[in-house]
Amino acid sequence: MYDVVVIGQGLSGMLAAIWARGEGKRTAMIMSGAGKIMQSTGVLDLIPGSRGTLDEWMKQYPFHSENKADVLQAVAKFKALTRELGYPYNGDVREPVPVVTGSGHIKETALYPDTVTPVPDRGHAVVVGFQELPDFQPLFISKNLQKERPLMTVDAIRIPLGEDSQRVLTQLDAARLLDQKEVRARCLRRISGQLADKGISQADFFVFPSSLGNEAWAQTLKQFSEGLGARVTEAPGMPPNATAIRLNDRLKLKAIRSGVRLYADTTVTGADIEKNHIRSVRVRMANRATDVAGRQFVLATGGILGGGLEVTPDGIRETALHLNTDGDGRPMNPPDNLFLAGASGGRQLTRHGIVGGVYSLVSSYASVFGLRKTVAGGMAK
Amino acid sequence: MNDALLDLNMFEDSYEKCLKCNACVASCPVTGATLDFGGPKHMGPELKRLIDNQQVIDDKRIEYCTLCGNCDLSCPEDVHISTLTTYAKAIHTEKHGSSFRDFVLSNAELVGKMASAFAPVTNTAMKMKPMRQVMETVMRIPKERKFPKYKFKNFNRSFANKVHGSKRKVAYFVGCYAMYNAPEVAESFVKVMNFNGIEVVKPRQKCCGVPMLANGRLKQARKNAAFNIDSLLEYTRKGYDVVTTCTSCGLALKKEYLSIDGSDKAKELAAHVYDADEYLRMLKDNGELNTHLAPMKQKVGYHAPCHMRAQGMGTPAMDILELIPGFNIYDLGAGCCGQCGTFGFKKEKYGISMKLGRTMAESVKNLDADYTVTECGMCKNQLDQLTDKEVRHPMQILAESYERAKQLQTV
Repeated sequence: MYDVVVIGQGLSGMLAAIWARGEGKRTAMIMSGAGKIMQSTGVLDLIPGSRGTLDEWMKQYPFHSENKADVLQAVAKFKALTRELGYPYNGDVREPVPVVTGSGHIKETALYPDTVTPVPDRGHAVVVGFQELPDFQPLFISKNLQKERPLMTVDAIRIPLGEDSQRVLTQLDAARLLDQKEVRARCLRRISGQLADKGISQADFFVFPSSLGNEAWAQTLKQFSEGLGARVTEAPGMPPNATAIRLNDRLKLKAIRSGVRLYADTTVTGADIEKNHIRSVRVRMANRATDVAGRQFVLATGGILGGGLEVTPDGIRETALHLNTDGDGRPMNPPDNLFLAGASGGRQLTRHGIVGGVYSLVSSYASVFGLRKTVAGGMAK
Repeated sequence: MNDALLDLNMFEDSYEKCLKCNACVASCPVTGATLDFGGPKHMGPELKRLIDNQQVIDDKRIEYCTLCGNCDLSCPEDVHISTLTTYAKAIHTEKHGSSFRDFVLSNAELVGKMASAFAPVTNTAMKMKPMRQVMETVMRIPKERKFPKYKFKNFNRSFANKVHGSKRKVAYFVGCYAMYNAPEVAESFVKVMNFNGIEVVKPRQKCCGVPMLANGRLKQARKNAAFNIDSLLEYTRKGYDVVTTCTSCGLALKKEYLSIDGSDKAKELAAHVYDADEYLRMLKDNGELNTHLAPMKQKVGYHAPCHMRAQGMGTPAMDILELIPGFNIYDLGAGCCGQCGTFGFKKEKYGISMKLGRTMAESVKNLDADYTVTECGMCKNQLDQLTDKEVRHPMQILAESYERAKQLQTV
């Protein structure tokens, strides 16, 4: 019997589990796969694909305007957690900033780690690619960035990381290579050489793949920005982005070390619900099914992309607990001890398929601590 | 084309669901430690997509796969990646042959029987430098690598089935490690069961096959699987539950047999298989567990074996050990230990094994507990090599707590 059973292991589930455990609750997290942080950019948007403000976000999602202080408190708690984990997030949800992505386009985001730097309006930018890394094409990126930033000078270069490999490298592989001081120094020399060849004397903004070190991201950031005499940023794109993997790995380790019980590679296939109250969820393991009982449950299975909702000819189906849903997949009259976190609350919450990191963290916070009026319940009570 | 290879080619279509999201690549311990490995995505679903209904391709990069199963845990689409890499390994061994070393290492049971029979000699010989130099030169087994000790008084010699008609009955799948290297683990398990009034029998059994799978010897692993399935079903059909103290044996019976054997009998058996701690937790949930445990004021680090996590059952060892009053247990959260069964005994993999083990060793050092607890004999081997803390199995701790409680009662 657990106090809290979290279903799902993306950003919403992970935060709900960590925060519930932090409140001294015996907590389990039921996981199918590694969770969607793995495939994310690692930056937390307000309204995905839009330049909306916090007020617009609060109307769209929807939160009552008087909950703004709670929202800011949730964000502060997230930032405090990332500081504790040694991977601090910056930014202000009231003032989203433009960042460049792995396609060279610019998007607005609210919260981002130190390895991501907002992109300026003007100046001289250089996009640096690695020859071994096909997921990041500097020329393509530089042309897109140039379109978005007409007042800026944008160049592209490509350098070899120079390590023998038996496989095609991912951004995470490159990040792990850059954990080594010698590899970083070699890269810096090659960048300088390329800049000299192209006659670029002083650039003030360097765009890298989402690869600026894995464990040694702080050293990489320092060595590159000092060595290049300019601001540097990661441009997250094709997964795995080191920007996101660092967050994922640290959250997971935090969950494990604080004593959250991980039911990995399992699937919730239903629930024992009596008088609109969940007693246990049915969990399918490799060899049989078992019941995991709890006092409170957090549904953090995601929306259609995450697999929590499924589009069928008869409408949108909720896949884990088989709750009745409306046309958007929003659970109707959910059990009284169930809290919805992230995209599991229905399609009306998602933009371009995703719910946005800020909603994930705020709804996870709400499921654990409760927000006034917006979400019923809250575990702290 | 060779029939055996055709056979290898017919299983598994879960690869079709692979979205190439790279979650497995990012989660694979070996991929993180070396660029020589092709990675689970390339060696699993992509290789399978390439060769399905086509000519079989032998890719030697598969040698680096340890079959730890972290890829399966990470896959959001439920692709059976480790099953696919198991087949890639089998193809490689089929085409390439097994080295004498890999043949020996994969025969844990035979080695166990022989080494146990001559235990004092074996253990001494394994510590002799000239002997280890020869082993390194001839067999490419690194001389620095520690080996588990073998016990002459193995569990086969010490245990006799006693049936007294308890309500719950356990058929104990001992596994090679507890049989030949650590009979104290097996004996502790029997004690724990007896403290709960549960009779334990030891069915006829062969090595679960995991070391064979890891070395591409799929045919032999299938033979062992078929033998164990038949032998254990005789018991489950009479109301016995099958319980393991080795998390790799547990994973084999619960999961691997479903893919390498795949028969209805394999499924029938799997439903009755429990990890020892999982079994005790189930007893507790049903109010049947003897909770008369003596306090043990200790601070302990728990190392979760990959094959424990792969069973998808939470962390039952911690759930159970936390019932001991005063017992403080902390999950090290260290990931893969790097021993990876036979992998860490191989000269060409030793560097990777040590690199992987470093994270675990650091976390043990940082926690600075009284000792470390883990279910897996191979993880223990790596812990013994890289840390100075004693390593115990959960059953040893529980047996001690039960025994102390009994002593306290009688005093």
